[in-house]
Amino acid sequence: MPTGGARRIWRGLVRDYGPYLPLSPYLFVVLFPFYWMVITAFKRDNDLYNLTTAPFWFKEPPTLAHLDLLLQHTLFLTWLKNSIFIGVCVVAITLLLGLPAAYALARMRFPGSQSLSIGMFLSYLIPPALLFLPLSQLVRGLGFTDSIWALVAVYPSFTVPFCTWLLMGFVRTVPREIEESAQIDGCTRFQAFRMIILPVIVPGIITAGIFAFTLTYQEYIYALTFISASANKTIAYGVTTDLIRGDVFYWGSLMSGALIGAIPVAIVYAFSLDHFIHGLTAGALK
Amino acid sequence: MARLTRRQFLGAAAGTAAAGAFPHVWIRPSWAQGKEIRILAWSHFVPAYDKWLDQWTDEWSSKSGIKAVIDHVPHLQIPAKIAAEVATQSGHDIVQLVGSGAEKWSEALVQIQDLADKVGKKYGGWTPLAENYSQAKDGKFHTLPDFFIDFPGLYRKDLWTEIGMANGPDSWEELHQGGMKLKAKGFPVGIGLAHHDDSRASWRAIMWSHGASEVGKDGKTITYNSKEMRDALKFMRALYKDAMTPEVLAWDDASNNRLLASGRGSWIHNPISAYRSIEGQNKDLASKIFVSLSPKGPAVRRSFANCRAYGITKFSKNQDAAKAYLEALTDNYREGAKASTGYNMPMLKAFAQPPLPIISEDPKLKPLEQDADYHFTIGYPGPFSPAADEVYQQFIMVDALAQYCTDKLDLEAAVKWAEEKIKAVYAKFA
Repeated sequence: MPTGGARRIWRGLVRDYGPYLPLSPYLFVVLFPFYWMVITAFKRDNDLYNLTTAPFWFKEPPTLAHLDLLLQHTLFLTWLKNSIFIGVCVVAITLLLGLPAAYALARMRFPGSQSLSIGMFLSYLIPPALLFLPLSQLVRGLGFTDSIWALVAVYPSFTVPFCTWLLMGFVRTVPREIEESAQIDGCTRFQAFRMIILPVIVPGIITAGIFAFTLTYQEYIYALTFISASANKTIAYGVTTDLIRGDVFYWGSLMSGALIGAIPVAIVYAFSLDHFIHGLTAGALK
Repeated sequence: MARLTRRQFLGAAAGTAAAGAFPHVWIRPSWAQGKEIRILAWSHFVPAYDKWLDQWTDEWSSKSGIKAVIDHVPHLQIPAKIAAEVATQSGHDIVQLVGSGAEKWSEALVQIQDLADKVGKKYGGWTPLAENYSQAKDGKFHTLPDFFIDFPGLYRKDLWTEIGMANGPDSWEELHQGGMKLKAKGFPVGIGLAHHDDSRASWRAIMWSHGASEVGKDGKTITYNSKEMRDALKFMRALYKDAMTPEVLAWDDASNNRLLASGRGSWIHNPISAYRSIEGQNKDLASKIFVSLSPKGPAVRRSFANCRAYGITKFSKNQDAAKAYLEALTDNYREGAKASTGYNMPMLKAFAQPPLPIISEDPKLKPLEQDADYHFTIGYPGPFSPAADEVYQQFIMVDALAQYCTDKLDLEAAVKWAEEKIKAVYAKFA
């Protein structure tokens, strides 16, 4: 039988740490790939392929060789800059097009508005593998072949429908009466949109921006199709081009690339987390 | 010091990111530049080869006055890239065909028989493999063969010595006998039985070595349903059960490399890339790995060649420059083969004569001098036709084999299953 003191300690442990127990399987599933990524990025190849030891830690001293290969012998930093630049441009275009469209579809009644909003969402469901051929024609027509502008032009084709759909939910959460009051006080519809709707749906805008950025950041097929020159590649495309060579995978450098590539996304999420969660739940509740 | 708010930080970060990335916007795209040729090539297994090719191309550019630029992409993504370029009639002047696809894209490529004749004459003629691979259905070259990737045997000499076969297996039957013993010691044989290049290559080597094939020499008569095919299937099933592990059913192209690199594999059927990468990682293990000819079967010794060839796109505005580039590249084949550390195998008869760069100098690789004599490609013994290519692409024969090996189909059902599918594909192209 446990003594009174031991029972108290046990109760304290259960009280303090018990709530974390249900979380632990989730945390394991979510964090294990990152853990694997980190140790592989610094593991020697010899150690990585050694099946005689436990694979979850280092048997040989860690190495920076994979990082060196990635940073010194590939154009990784250029790809990173390209990805960020394209992501920022696409977010801007997406919000510029998506916000007015979401407002119109959520607020205005006009023939076909219902089917238009459903059609917009359905267009997001068309797989890129079907669209890349017609979009190739478009890119060529615009004169953007083998330029990062090709991706800036093409990526909104999937971010705008999705984000418009997302933003429609946020616009609908804003009571119509507030907007009408503003109009009674002399605002035009555009002023009401700018001064009333936009500030209220900031969490939604941030959520849509984050989605647009991450969707763009991880895209592969369009980048592969429209970009050839190494200096114009994005991270997802460039890393696989240079670090997967037929049946030879440079695992350490691939993982280093994935790790560094994840940092900008992690920063965006970390600093917008409150808005992001608020945005998601607000949209969901509506 | 004033505290930085989150909003200020995000604003500053976004501004810095945009400013940092801005100069890249002004990289001049290809369409804005002057006369030049662009080449679409795969990311070679050996990075040093790409380095050599890029450097050689720069030198050629300065000599010829024609700017040539190479874009490297992974070989599995080349078909999608070519499809997009053919659809828009714009893109690279020269595209590299990797394995399958040469026949499929022949309509979109310039017929270059004149160039093939000129180069062939200079270097003793093309090997039958090269002719089979690059000649389209009009009997003319639409691509210029560059090199082929061979499939020899890579074995652990120390392990095979322990069982009294110091030179590794010379025949598939020896592989079976030795593999059984080595699997029992914890060192299985590794041949993929899944949807990836190596599986369909190795299975074709085994099939042909048993005298079996999917189609006859005419490229029309389906010959899959034969005694030889049954023998080959029975052999492979026995090899799978006795000398391999079920993990091969889920393999990709890198898996057999990993098996060998882990020190757990006793023999794999793979190009020397597996050996080369181990050399860079684990010198001790690499010293135990030796290279042998692809095993011979009861009928003959045959292995699979994964070919690489260049085609000039019909939409190219600089076709003469592209031809000049390809001719000069072929003239420098030996330098390239050297840079590939013996990976590139010749498709011109003069280059196939020993001494071969690197290969003839390295006692371990010396057996590969003979590879040009017994390697064949998709559709063998018939021509490399679109139908043969589709059978290859659909993994029909690998799927039949895997179902038989895992007892999902019995022998007769597996033969019937594959034969029907092969016939349907060939009927589509008849």
